[in-house]
Amino acid sequence: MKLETLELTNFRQFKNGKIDFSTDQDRNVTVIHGQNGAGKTTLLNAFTWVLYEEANFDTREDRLVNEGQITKAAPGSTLTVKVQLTFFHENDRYRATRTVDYTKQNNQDLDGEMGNPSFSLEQQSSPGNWDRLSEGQKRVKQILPDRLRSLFFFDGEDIEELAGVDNQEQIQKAIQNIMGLTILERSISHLKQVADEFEAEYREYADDEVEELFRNRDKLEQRIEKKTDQIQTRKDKRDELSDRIEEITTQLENIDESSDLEQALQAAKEERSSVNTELEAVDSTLSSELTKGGTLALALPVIKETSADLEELQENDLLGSEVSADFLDTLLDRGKCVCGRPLEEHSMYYERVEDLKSEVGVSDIGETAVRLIAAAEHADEDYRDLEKTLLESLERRHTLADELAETKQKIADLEQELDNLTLPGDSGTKSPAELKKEREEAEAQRESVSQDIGMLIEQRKGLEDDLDAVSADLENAREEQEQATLAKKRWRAALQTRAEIESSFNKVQNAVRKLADQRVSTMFESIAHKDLSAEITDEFELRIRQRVGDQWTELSKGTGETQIASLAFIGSLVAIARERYEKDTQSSYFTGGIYPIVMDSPFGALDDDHRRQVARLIPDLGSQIIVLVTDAQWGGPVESEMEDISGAMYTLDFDDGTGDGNYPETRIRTEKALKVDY
Amino acid sequence: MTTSEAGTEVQVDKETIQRVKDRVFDAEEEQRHLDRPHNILPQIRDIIREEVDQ
Repeated sequence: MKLETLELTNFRQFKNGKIDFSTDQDRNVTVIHGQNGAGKTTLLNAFTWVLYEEANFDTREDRLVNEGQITKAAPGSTLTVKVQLTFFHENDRYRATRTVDYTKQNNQDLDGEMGNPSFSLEQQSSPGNWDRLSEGQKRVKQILPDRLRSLFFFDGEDIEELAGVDNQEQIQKAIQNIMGLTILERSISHLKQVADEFEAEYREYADDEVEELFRNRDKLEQRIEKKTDQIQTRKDKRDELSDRIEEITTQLENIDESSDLEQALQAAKEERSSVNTELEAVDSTLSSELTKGGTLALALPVIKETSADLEELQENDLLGSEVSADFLDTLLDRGKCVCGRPLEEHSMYYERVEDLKSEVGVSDIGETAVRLIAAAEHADEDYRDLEKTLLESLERRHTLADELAETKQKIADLEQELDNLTLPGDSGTKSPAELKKEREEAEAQRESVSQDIGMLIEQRKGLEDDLDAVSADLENAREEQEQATLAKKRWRAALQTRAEIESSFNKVQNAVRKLADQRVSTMFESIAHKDLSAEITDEFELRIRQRVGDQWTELSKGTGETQIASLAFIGSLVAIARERYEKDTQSSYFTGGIYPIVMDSPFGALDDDHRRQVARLIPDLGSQIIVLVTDAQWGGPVESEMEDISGAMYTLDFDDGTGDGNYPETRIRTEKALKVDY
Repeated sequence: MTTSEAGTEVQVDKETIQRVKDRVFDAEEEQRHLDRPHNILPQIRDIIREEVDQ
């Protein structure tokens, strides 16, 4: 799908206007910029309204009609709101049109009464001739499925949520959506329902014992479902608390009195987290080195003594071929070594001589002794290496512990200073100290909720284990009756088919996750700082990590990098869908597609450096990109990066209507249009 | 719910499962364009009854 033009008539603040999108391969970006309130979000909504009859406005969602036009209209007259979108899809040109009439009831009626919207989709048969399709809405949903809408028409300021906490479901859903596995999804769901029906049939014939097992299983399933609900409720609560904590942090950063302190506090907390991460890594090194070589330290004196004894025996020519296991037996029997050391049964020396006897062949004692002496020398070297590593690690640990103590003190001092800021803000808002206290309470509550979540997950796991046990008992339950057996067989067939489809579904989903992971990682690393990396984990989490020393630590939410990673993720899905489409594979359940991206305010509150990085990334996100951006975001690095790569550019000239008593209106002014002949 | 719940003493061979799967996909495919497929559950139930009849 490639967008060609968008035309608006009486749609919100647009009395009329038209945009020709760039369809050029090299200059694939169309930029539309304007001041706040000029109508960028209205344009984003125009796309979703014309295609799906969906719009999401902050104010007066029900009023699509132009305010000025309905006010001026004569009572009883009708105004038509119209949005028309032309686009290409698989070598055909389409025209989607949605209209709705507003009738002005009387002079006081400034809203108009809304009629029923109507929709048409036409396909161009020859230049100037359009054929109306009978099931237009259905066709639109086939071309750009409804479920993909949020992936390709989005508010850039919301998109960073993809890289936020607990985002697995969004990522997983996005991956499922891009795969277009409708048939698989539906089959899984429907087979579950049919399996339940066969199960019910089977239960009609089942005996009391089996019935009891079924009852137990049902109860366990209900309890598991309840636990799952409880977990979700707490997760929601945790998210809510996280949002509040973030909100307070932003507030504290924006209050003049606390701004510097709060920023210093956040920096100190990040430093504490980074030092803690490194400290854990050092502890892990210490632990693994001690596990690996710790016994060496204890055994070394014995090894050295044994080595010395063997050398002495060798020098005295007592380890030649004439020395036999019998000789060693004699030593053990008489309880005394040739060196004079007592060989008491079960003592370390007794066992050492015993081991020596069993390890060698009768005639190989001399050779083995040489080998053991060499091994003992090697053990000495290993010990020195171990000692060096341990000393270095301990030294580093000591430094880190000092740093940690220092950072903790710094945090305590800063918190104390914040506690002293007890004066309320200008408009009677909470003081920094009150905000900080509220944040601490929210953090404590979040910690407690997180613990609850952990506990509930454990409890659910226990119930799931019980469920598995009951299921296994059911598996073994025997039924003699023929009908019961047949019903059971059908039940099994439904479940087995469903399990196989589910397995295919998971395989494809995982394959796409891996592809997306590779692309996100490559795209992100090509643009972000070299010590940062992005990945989609096995659990479908989009994570950004930062290298600190030799360790990777997770980057906190709300940075410019999360915006970049989230955009890279969307870009990866677009690329995967396109690749799949162009490969024309045999799979009939994931055919892919070519999709445009329309994004509102992708630069959010980013600093200049990150805006530049995002601007560089945008052309690579898809084959056609439409960027809606505020004038404030457009200037500087964004404009310099995007001016050359954009094929079309528009300004939204907004008149708020306050000056001359008129009504708000936006005109679309063309700054640059790249003419392409079709 | 797992497949094992339906028991091991009744076996459904792989070929049957494959036929059920293909026919279910065909039935779903016919109604892919619909938001809510019509009568799909009775259709799937009949497919399974026909394929597993003894």
